[in-house]
Amino acid sequence: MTTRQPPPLNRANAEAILTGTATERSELAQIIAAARGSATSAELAGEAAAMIRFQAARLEPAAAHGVTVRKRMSDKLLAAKVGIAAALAAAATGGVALAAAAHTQTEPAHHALPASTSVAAPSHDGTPTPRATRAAVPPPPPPSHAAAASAAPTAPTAPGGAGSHPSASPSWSLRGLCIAYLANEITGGKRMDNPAFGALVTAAGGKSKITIYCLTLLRADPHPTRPARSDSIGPPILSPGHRLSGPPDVPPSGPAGDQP
Amino acid sequence: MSPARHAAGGDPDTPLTRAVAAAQRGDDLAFTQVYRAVQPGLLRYLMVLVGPDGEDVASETWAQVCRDFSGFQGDGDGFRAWTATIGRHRAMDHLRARARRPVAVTTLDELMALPARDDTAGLALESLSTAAALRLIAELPRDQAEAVMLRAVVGLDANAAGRVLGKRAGAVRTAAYRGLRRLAEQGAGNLVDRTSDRSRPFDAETVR
Repeated sequence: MTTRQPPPLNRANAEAILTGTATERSELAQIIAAARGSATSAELAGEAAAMIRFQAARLEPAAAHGVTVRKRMSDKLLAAKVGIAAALAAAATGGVALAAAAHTQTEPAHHALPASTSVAAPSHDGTPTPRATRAAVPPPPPPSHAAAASAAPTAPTAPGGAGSHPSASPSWSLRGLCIAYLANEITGGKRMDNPAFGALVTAAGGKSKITIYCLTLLRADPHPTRPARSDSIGPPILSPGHRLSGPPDVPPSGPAGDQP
Repeated sequence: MSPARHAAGGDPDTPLTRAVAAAQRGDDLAFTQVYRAVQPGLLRYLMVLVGPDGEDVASETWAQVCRDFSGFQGDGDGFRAWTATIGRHRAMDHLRARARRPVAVTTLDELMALPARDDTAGLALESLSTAAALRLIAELPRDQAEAVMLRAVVGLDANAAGRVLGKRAGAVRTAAYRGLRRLAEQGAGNLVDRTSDRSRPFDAETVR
């Protein structure tokens, strides 16, 4: 415990404590300093999920603007949807994942190809259940899948390799795995032992490098084949019918703009 | 990395201002910088508001931020205030839906590897953890807790915090001042004293 008597609180030193400029070492100043303590990795655990949303909004801003968040389930639904997309992406080269995904699809046929190209929606009006998340996690890779994934000839081998992103077709399986991996992170990353991610570990050069590898891969090649109308995770995550109650959404103008 | 950054003077050319602008141009790495600069303070604020569900509310907040990012206009400080405003709206939605008192911050224990309250009592004040400090703040009346959090942890000046809260800057200053006074009165000594107090409604054992 501190042995120093705290100086009496007044408006001036209160402001200094609030802004972190206080020189005193009072208990109060230390409490506030502790509240302002360094960020922990747990606090930043949602970074990958936020990045996915950021990229999705950028890829198809119009779709993202027309919808709003669905409460609490949003990340899980996002994971379900990107998981399905990942399974379809894997199916594009592997085939087996298609079977798993087909059982979870609400509108499979005409979405199969566009969905396999990106973080795509299986359906604009269907809603995958959390069950679909489990079903859509890529199964252990069939030999052809693993080979295709690990043999992607020009896949970046280190973060920052955006300039040498893989050519479109071979990257599908890795993209799918990346999407599944990032979705996995959203839901807590409990399934990283799935052998399906082995190819990703190999491609990224280690487990610890997967996140940055995947972000690099997805950023470098957002449209591996062609821009597809359903090339977005916006609509399925967010539904106009689920607009939250309460005050109207904050207009996208910074409060700084309101300053005199 | 401290979650708060104070630039009440309004210097428009800060790292966060530049990162926000770059992210709006589609720079993913800049978005990462923005996230890392803003998320810790935002999450702590939301945890104080809604307790264990703060992480969910933060996720919803970022979903909306990403959705509306391209339309944001302002500097880094403005971005902090904007995200805090969105987060507060989502938190209020959450509280209304839950119709529950927004006090408990139990999951901060897990989020920040906080030692249990009994253990915290044995620590020197110098090692008071972030989670323990947030727990103290969360037990203030909500207007005081919000004012303290927005000013001290999110890093807003009184004007910006007032806009987030829909109050005048003077009201925010008063609430923050009262909150600090109460914290000073209760302080870490209070934290120690309450280690044997089992009657508080949001004591960790009660919530768990």
